[in-house]
Amino acid sequence: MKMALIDYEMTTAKCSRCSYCKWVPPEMVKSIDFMTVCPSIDRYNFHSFSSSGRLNIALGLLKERLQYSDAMLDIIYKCQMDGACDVSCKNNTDLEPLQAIQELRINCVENGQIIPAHMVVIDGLKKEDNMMQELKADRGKWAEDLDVKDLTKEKADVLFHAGCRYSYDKELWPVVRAGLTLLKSAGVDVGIMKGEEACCGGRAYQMGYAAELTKYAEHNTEAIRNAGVKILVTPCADCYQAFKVLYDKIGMKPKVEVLHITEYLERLIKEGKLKLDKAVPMKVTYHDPCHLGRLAEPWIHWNGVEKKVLGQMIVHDPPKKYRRGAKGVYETPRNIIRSIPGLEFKEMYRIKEYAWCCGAGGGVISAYPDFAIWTAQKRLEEAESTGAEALVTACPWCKRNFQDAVNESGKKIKVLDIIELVQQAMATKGKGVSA
Amino acid sequence: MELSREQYNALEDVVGPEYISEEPAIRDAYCKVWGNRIIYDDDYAVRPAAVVLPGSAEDVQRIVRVCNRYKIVFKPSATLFATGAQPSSENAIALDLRRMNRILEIDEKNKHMVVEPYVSHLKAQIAAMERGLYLGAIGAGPSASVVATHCCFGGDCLTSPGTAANGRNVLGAEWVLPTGEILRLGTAGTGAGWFSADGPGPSLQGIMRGQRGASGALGVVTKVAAKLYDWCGTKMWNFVGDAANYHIDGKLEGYEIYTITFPTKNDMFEAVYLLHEEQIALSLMRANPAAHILAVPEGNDEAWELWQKSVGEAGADRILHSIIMCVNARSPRQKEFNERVIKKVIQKMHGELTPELNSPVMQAKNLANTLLATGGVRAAFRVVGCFSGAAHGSDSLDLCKRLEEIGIELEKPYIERGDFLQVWEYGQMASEHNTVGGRGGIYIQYDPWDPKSLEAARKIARESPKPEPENYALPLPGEMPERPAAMMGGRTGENVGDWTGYIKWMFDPNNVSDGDNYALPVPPIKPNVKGSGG
Repeated sequence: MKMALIDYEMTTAKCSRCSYCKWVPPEMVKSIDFMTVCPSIDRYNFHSFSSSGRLNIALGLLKERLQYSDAMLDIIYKCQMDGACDVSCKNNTDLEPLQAIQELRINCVENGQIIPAHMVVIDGLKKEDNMMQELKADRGKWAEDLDVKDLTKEKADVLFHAGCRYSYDKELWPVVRAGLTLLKSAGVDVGIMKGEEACCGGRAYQMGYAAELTKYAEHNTEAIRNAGVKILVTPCADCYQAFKVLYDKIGMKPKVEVLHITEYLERLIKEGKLKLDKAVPMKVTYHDPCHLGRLAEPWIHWNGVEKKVLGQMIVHDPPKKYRRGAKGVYETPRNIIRSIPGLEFKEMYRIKEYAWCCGAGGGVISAYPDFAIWTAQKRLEEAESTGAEALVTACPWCKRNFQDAVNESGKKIKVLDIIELVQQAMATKGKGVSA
Repeated sequence: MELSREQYNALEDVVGPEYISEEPAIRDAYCKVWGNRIIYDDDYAVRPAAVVLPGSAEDVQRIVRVCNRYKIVFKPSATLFATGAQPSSENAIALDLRRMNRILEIDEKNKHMVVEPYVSHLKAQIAAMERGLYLGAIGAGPSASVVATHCCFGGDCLTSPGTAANGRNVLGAEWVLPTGEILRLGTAGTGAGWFSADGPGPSLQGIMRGQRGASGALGVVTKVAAKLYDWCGTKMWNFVGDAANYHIDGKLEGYEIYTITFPTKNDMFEAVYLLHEEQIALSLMRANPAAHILAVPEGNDEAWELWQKSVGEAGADRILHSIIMCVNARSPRQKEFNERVIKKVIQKMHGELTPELNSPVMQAKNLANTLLATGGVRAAFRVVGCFSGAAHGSDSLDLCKRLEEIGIELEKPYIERGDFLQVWEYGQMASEHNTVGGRGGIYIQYDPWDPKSLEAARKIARESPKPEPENYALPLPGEMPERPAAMMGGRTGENVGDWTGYIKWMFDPNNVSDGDNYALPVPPIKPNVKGSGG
């Protein structure tokens, strides 16, 4: 069922202003230095920059108390859409703040209320099918010299979808190549779409461009069907969330198993097809990508009615299950990390469903790069507080933004994708991948 | 209303351009909070002229002086989680104290902490707990500001029997008066440290907050020294579970929680007397059948399922007269003593530790709801939408009982019509100070977006002061339909409203510190202000 901003009016009205959305759920706060969860309110301070404030703006627009302005768009778009507020809010409520804010953005786009930096990205997407403002023709270059099936011409069991960031960010090519090589070395019948791979549409959707998600969902589900694969695996958390959750949300769930590469690697490790037999003497901590964690919780379709019991208590018929952040992919990457010999693993204070965002999401990396880096720096400080030598993550957008923050600040901490860690932990197979 | 450019520039000079805004989308975030519909018949109160974010007491002082110079009304707030924290006029500016968020001092030996206004109860609590100390849990929940609850609002504590209400835990405060002078109460005023708010320096605690707080109508409190108590548990509580089910991992050393059910109301109140006499309670709350259940699971549908499964309409009467009590113990001997007392009281007053209300799951949730106050916000807003108090008062248990009876009679027709949440006999009684006293009355839970329910809530708020004993029965000030809230003429004692107005007039000659939720200035010539001396 397609929802619109008006469908979330009661969520916007019912915000009590309890400010839970600004903090880690109270039960899980373990340090006063790392107890906040929303980069936007932390950076910009006015209440409007919190989830509660954005719901207020949505209500103001619905009630025609407010008119669009540049300052308002700044508030709406200076947000990573990371969903941490949603988890904390739902610790207490049956509201849907993230969905309401998503619809607020869609409403903005539908009304022509867009920001120039996003327009540039979307223009590039429309022309070249990627979010990186690069040529479509260059999409498959990252794998040019790899011996891998071309699924536009051949058949395989598994489609490896690299995603826009991995396809065009040359500094990250060693990671994506290593990911593909690990699968191949484990004997997986895998192929790629090379230059025909297209954007998943997920990041555009988060920026408010709903039509782009539909367009790419239609294209990709057809491409997947034509490829005849059984499994789609991606090393990009954003793509994973789009294929698994967003496509389902808009009624275009692909008829294949969708896996993040960490899920596939864990499966291969358990089956003994990948052996982590080399010690990696390093102390690491793990950053949960929002799109692999809380935002990857499966979509729950509900079609029913609200009713009142006990006089005024609001319940649903049939009962409605809320996505409260509990069912993201949290243990899988941790299991891999724990299975690496010699590695010391230390958790940060904000983890899993209440993890702090890397800063890159929601179009912030494109429109407000300073804010993206500021957000990443806060996470790096937390990572450093654990004494870790490396911050491990599982998403190219996180890796890019953290690496940029490290480069800018001169911090010593390394930023690794979990693929790199697995590669380091293998004495033989999966080696030999170069940049 | 817009500020003149001269006014705006004067404020901007204090905080810099990054921390002042006239953008409507920003101003609107300071005039919408729960409870507005009962007062304003709208989700919104009055949009302020601007929002300013001071970074220090000195910034606040300079802003207040600008406000006096230009006759701009100001309203300070921290998390702004009450109707009374909103600006009341279009000429008002909102002072968001968010940038003042430091814990300045924790004195482990003398057991107090000095904090700025945006330090939340949770932040203070985590810092205190690391040092084996405890602040107490406020009903407004873990997000609430320590300064707001201690100095500016009601401040009733869930843990009042053990830690007293927040208003009684003020050991000093730094206060920017409505004229812009800075006053430090008590020992802090003489530079002797923050250990007593009552001298040898100036006191004025009663004026700063009185019983229910001035809600920012008498200037801005920029620091408070809050008394701390012993934390009896392990260094930190350990919550586990996923987002749908956070709970304390196993037993929390040093703390026990009991839900005790009695056959009659008299038995229940007698038991409360006895328990108070032994001074073992950290918290002691009256709990009605619905409240037992509805705040526990993650959502209303789950709560409704649990209710039907574990209690249901037929079972509600069986657990009608119940209390939830949390006790703490610093030693095995104290633990043993607590247990013996509870056992004896249960025996004497025919109580029962009802199994379904004392399961490990319920105990873990109730413990979190008590020590961390996580359940209050959930119960107050999620279950129905909003709540209000009626026929409320703080005094002896006898008065609590009487107020509860008044309240129950008052709400009966509304409950029967389905205007409020069906809560059976829902008295509310939170005992305070480990004396034989408490806070009593009823809470109603209404849907502010249901016109029938909203109107009923408004009616009961207006009706509740009328029954005897009228000097005590009043709704919570924040939810009163009429303003200014504290000037309701004699409801809390003879001409208290006039005296409040007189104090307001003395402290705020230019009437710039927003008094809507407190009092308007009353000059001393008013004849019924006794002993004002002109």
